[in-house]
Amino acid sequence: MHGTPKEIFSRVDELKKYRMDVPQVTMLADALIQKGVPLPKGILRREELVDALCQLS
Amino acid sequence: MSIKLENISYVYSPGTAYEHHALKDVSLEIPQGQFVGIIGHTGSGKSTLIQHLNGLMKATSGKLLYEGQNIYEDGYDMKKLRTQVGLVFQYPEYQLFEVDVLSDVCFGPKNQGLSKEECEKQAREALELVGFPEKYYKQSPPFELSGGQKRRVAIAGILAMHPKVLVLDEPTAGLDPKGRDEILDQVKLLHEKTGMTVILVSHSMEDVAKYVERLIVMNDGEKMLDGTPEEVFRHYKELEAVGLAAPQVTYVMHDLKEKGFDVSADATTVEEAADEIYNFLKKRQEVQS
Repeated sequence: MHGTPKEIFSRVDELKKYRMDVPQVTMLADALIQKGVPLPKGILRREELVDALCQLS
Repeated sequence: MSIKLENISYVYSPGTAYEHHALKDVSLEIPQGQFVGIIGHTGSGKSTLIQHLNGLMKATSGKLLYEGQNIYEDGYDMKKLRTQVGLVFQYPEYQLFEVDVLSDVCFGPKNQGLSKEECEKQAREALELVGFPEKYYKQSPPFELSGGQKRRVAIAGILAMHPKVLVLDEPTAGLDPKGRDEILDQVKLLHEKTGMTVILVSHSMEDVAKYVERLIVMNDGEKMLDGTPEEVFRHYKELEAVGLAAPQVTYVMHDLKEKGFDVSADATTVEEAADEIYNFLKKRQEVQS
């Protein structure tokens, strides 16, 4: 697996399988995507997540 | 039934240039069966505090009552206390020494004077409680196991003495994320199964927030905060001021609130935060359509 942090951390399930940790913010974004909230993949920072959520209407 | 600390203070090397007040007037009560997390950064007094719980360290001043009895009274049965309050140190796997796993776990009950059969019975139950696979009970010297497995064996060594209180000092230090989750899940399971008091020492807020019902925050030898994870993380600014942080999700929820989202900022785990945000978005959508 290689790529930018954004690319790598958009693969939450795979990372967990390989016993790796994912930032909590990335996990939260992933959990929301699973529930059907249209967020971009690979969110790493808290500001990114907050911005993305604010842009939803 | 509880452990009660009344104004406990502890001073290292009193009267010397190295005098250090590790605990300052700490009072708290832990009722039987509670799952408690103790957090604080290095040097905050967490480890000193828990070593008081089974009388390994004696307070410079103050009283410690176990099940209503002052353990500092003359003639108090310290040996019995130490079998009832089981302390698992950091990196306990370094203390494994026997020829195989089962003998190692038998060591505690053997010292309690139990027969060989009883020791084995309690050891097997303990290994089962920590989810250790039976096929390795006899075969391997414990040193050849993986880090996570060794730690299970070490915890089982304490459980085999049937303690009423289990104290774990940084039980996940040095484990990878999956090993960490497995150990903590197992501890939670055994708390549910046995009704034991479990006291978990950690410096990771995110780890403990998921598991415990009560958090005690230590700072510079003092009890700084004490409450449910929700209550404690409401003080996230004070936590920051002393070099600790609330879980990342707590910050996200506060940010969203500031931006006008009608969400509760009390979520302390990913699942709680996801539910809270999702429910808000859904409600908003329903209002709009």
